[in-house]
This record gives sequence, C-alpha cells and structure tokens, in this order.
Amino acid sequence: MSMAAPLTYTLEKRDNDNFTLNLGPQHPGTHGVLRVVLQMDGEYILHADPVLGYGHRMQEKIAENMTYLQCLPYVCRMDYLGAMSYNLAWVCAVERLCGFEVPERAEHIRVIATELNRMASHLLWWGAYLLDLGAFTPFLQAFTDREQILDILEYLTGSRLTYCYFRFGGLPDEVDDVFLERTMSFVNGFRKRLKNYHDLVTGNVIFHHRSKDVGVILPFDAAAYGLTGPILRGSGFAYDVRKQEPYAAYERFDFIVPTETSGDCLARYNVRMEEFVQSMNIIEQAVNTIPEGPVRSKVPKTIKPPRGEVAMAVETPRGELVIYIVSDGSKKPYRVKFRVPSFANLSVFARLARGQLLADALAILGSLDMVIPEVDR
Amino acid sequence: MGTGSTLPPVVHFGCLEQIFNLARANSLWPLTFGLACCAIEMMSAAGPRFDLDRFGAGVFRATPRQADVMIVAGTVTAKMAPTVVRLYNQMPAPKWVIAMGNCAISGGPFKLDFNYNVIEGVERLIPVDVHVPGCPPRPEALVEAFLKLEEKLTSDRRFPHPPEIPRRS
Amino acid sequence: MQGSNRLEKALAEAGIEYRPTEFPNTGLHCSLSLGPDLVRPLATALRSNGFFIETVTAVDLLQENRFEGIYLFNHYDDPLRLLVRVPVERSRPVLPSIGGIFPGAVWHERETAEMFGITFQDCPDSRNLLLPEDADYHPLRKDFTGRS
Repeated sequence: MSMAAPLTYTLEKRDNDNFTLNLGPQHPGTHGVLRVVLQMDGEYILHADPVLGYGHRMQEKIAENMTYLQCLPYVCRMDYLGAMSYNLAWVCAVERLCGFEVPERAEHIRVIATELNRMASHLLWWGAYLLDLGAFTPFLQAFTDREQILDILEYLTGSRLTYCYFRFGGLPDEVDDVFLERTMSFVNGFRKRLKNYHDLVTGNVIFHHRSKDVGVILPFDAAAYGLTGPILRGSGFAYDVRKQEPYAAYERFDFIVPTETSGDCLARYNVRMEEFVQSMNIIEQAVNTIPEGPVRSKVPKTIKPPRGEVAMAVETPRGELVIYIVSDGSKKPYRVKFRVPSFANLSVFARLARGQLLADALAILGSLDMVIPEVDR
Repeated sequence: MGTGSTLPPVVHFGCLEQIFNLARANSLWPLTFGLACCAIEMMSAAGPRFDLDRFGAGVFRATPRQADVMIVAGTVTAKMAPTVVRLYNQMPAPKWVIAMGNCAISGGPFKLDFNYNVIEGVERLIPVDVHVPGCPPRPEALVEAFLKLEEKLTSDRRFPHPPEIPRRS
Repeated sequence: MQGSNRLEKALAEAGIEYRPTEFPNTGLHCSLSLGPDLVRPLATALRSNGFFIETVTAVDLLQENRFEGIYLFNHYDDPLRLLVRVPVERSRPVLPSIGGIFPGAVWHERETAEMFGITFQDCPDSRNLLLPEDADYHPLRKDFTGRS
C-alpha cells in the first residue's frame, strides 16, 4: 500500500504560499493515530481532511465471532479512558435484550465506578489539553490525582486502565466498605484540589487568549453532524443521556447538566470542569444511599438472547455511545454496531479548522477530546 | 555493545566505547509513539508517580531524528505499518526498540483467524530489543524495560536489587 | 406526549405512518421499514424538525440474500430514537445518500460502503475511510473470512 497522499492533493505550481502539510499519524498533539492532510496558506488552514484507519482493530467483526461474555474485554479497549462506561453499555445492552434484572446495590456500585472513571478521563483530558497548549505543570498535577482514582479502581476491579468489571446481572463479586471509604476520602480531598486547578488555569490570561472564540460550534451544525457530549453542551444544548434515557440508577440521583452558550474552546473547558463537581455529587449520593443486598441476580451460564434487536445509549465522558445488537438466538451476536461519540465529534473538525491558524486547530482538537482507537474501532 | 548500527565500526576503542555506552544508557530519549491503550500507561510512566526522568529517559522527543529509543506502545495496523518502518529508518543509529504491550509483541487479543488489519507483532517490521508483556503493562514494567535495556547496553545492571526486607507476620 | 407528536409530525411531512415500539425492551421509540426512495424525503423532514443523525450502517442477511441499510436518528429535546430499515438486494446494493442533508452522515456512509460494498448514490465523498486506500475486500460481509 502506498504512503503517498491521495491523488486529489497534487501540488500545482502557483504564485502564492499554498502547500500541503501532513499532520500525523505520529504527532504529539493528535491524541492517537490521526492523520490530517492540511492545505495551508502560510499559517492559515484552507482545507483539512482527516484520514482515519490507522488504529482500525476490526472490533465489529470480532464481536460477531465471540460470545457475549468474550466481547467484554474488546469493548473496553475501544475507548480505554472511559472503559467503565463502555462496559456498562455492553452489559446493559445484553441485559435489556435478555430481560435480566440488576439488584440495587450493584447499580449503585456501577454508578460510582462509572463516575470515578469519568473523573479520571476528564483529568487526563485536562492534562493533555493544556500540554497541547504548551503548559506542562497541569499535566503533572492531573496525573497525581488520576493515580489516586486508578488505585481505587484497581482495588475494586484488579486493573488500572482497561477494566472488564461488570457482568450480566450485576457485579462479579461482593464489594466491601473499604472501597466506599476510599472513594469518599478521595472525593473530599479532590473538592479542595479542584480549587487549585481553577486558580492555576481557568483565569489565566494566556489560556483565555488561546481558547476564547476559538473553534465555535454553531447550534445549526450540532444536529447536522450528530454531536453529543460536552462539546454539544458547550453550544447550549442540555442533552445528556443520563437525564434523557436514564439507565442504571441515575434517575435516583440529583445532578444538573452543565451547559454554556458560547460554543468555543473555553465553553467546552468550563463544561468539563463543572462535570467534575457533578460527578462528585453523584458519587456522594450513591455512597450515602447504597443499600445492602446481593450484587448479582441469577442469570444462565451461557447467554443466549432471544431473536431481535436492541439499542442501548450511554453517556461516556466523550458523548453518547449507542450499541446496536442484532441477535439471531445463538450465543454469538449476529451484528453489533458501536456508534461511538468521537466519530461524530471528529467529523466536525474539518469545518471548524477552516480559516484557523495551525496552532488554533490543535487547540480545537484538544478541546474536542477524542480517542482515536474509538473512532477507528 | 550497542545494537542498531547498520555498519560495523572500523576502529574499536575498548574503554571509550564502554564510556559511551554508559552515557547512552543513562540518557535514552524516547520517541512519542503511542498508538493505543498502552500509550496511556507510557504517559503514566513519564508522569509524577512512576517517574522515568530519574533514569534519564524523561525527555520524550516528538521527532524521530532526535530520539534514541522507540517505544511501540499499542496495536500496529496494516495502514500504520509503513509509517512505523519509516520512523524507524529516520532514527539515527544507535537506536533501540521497546515493544510495549501484547499487541506490539504478537498482535495480542487481535491475533484471530479472520484478522485482516492488525500486524501480529511489530517484530515482523523492525528489530525489537525489549518486549514488555501486559495488556496494558503497568508503568513499573516499562521502567523495568528501560533498566533491561540499560543492562543490554552496559552488560551490568544499573540499579541492583534492593535487599529483601523481612516481612513481619 | 409531546415527544411522539414531534416524531409523528416529522413522519407525516414525509408521508409515512408512525408506529411506536416498546422502548424498554428494544431501546427504540419507533422502528420503520422503508423503500429506498423514501429515505431522502424522510431525512429532509427530520432535519427540519431538529433531529440529529446517530448512525448509518447495514446488516448483512446472507440467508435472505439482502442487505438492510440501518439509519438511527434521535432528538436533543425528547427521547425519540428512530430506526429506519431499508432492504436492498445483495447482488447490487445501492442506497440514496443523505450526505447533502446531514453532512455528518458522509463519514458513516463512507464506512458502510467500504465495510459492506454498498454504493451510496450522490455521496459527496466516496473514498475509503478506515481501510487502506487500495483495499478491495469488504470485511463485514458474512462470507468474508480473512485475507489469505
């Protein structure tokens, strides 16, 4: 296979400064293996064309050849930063298809683990986004807190990054009070740390110059591209799957959906910073009201769902994930479609990057918070 | 002695090469080549808790022309394979490769019958010096990989094992 | 319920009858089966009523010798997941492209085209998205068992 750019990008002799620039696939600012072919005029971008597929790992074909339980490790390796929410989506989709019930204690633990994972993912986003903008200190601070969350989740699940924790019908094992105490002590400590983060970055004048009015997503484009998640909420839409189609005990907890109206990088930043606070509120409520009881309901050993189809939507740290399963009654799915949020979020990048400076385009990529293996599946 | 040079040296200076290898082992500059999940553990290894900088390896270079060691962290796909080879060729000798994670060693969980896109192990493309198993390997495993690479360069383990502390039962 | 009224109104603009499905069992609020010529009018009606495109994909029904193009739409203000199924024959699968109506659908159509071999008519961009540029195989077809 050739490494040359496609034929549409031939360099013609012109009397101006236009040239073709290749960003990636190995680039520290593209958050994975993303290649963007840029037509540049000096330092301004005329046309951006993302080239995908450098991380394509055949997830949908794999899902057709594995049993429902064997798919669980593959599902969490698509978006490794929000792996708990992907696990939750897969497990809830199969439970919806088969009609399994989940005990209340298991649902509370699921919510706590997913919200901790959301905070870890946003911490990494915060560190990486500011690293893209050129600031090195926030990366170190974010990773210090992130390691604490990873320790708590390692105590619960056994792994640091790619968890396969939930099972059909609940959790694999009993959960003791040590996990809940460690979670609460982390949450109480992090509330104070979040003030440090705001002092360090949020009011910084250089940060404002680089993110205010940069990469504005208009409300008209949101529905056309199918945007979801914090980037949609930065443009004024209060759409959150946890409120719209509640799953796994989220309707029992009180939380708001933070929105901003300006639609620029600063708005998306503010939405994610406020989501930290909301996640901590949810975790606190879940820990304070957790009931005693079993953590797994009785399900058959081999899952053989009835014929039919199911769609399950879940709010990952990046947006709305929809898993669509077509089952033919056997123990392997017939067709699985993962509608990943970063796919739609990246498709608006070509529109946003037009006319921007190259440095601003990288800031926009950072604020879109994508995980490229999720886009490539 | 150092691996990765394509031509054998014309003249060998015994003592000087030992000093050079010691210097190279203490300042291995990695290339930022995170492909998938293992990239996050590589970032954690460079982070504040499992600090790679104390081994001299914390200066991650974005361009291969300034890097010594290439950490292939993640799955290599068929579309990415020419890029991996091109980056390896752009690195100046002496250069080393650490294959981090099961995907880089052998294709990992993606080594299946109907595999149409995943290269089963980066060793099929470029020579590898250290393999780090795990899915993803812990950051401490990546630190140990650097120590093993230093051992390969200097034929002497740089940081000896600390003495066993007897457990109080 | 206001939500289903919105969907009913949008479907009526395209001349389609609204039939709800059981949401808790399937996760879908409405599931339709249409012919290919109704896809573009439906997409135009949904776009003007504020629906957003979730995905465009396909299912390979090898036994019944056809593909089914699957479109999923949803709305930001009310829970209204709509699934549209468009059967096409397997030997010459052609679907109309909604890339001119929903620009975000172009990438979904590119991926479905390369994975299944379906042609989307008048798609603004029909290059491969995830597979290499010179790939001549369609991996998600049921009769594809690997390259060897």
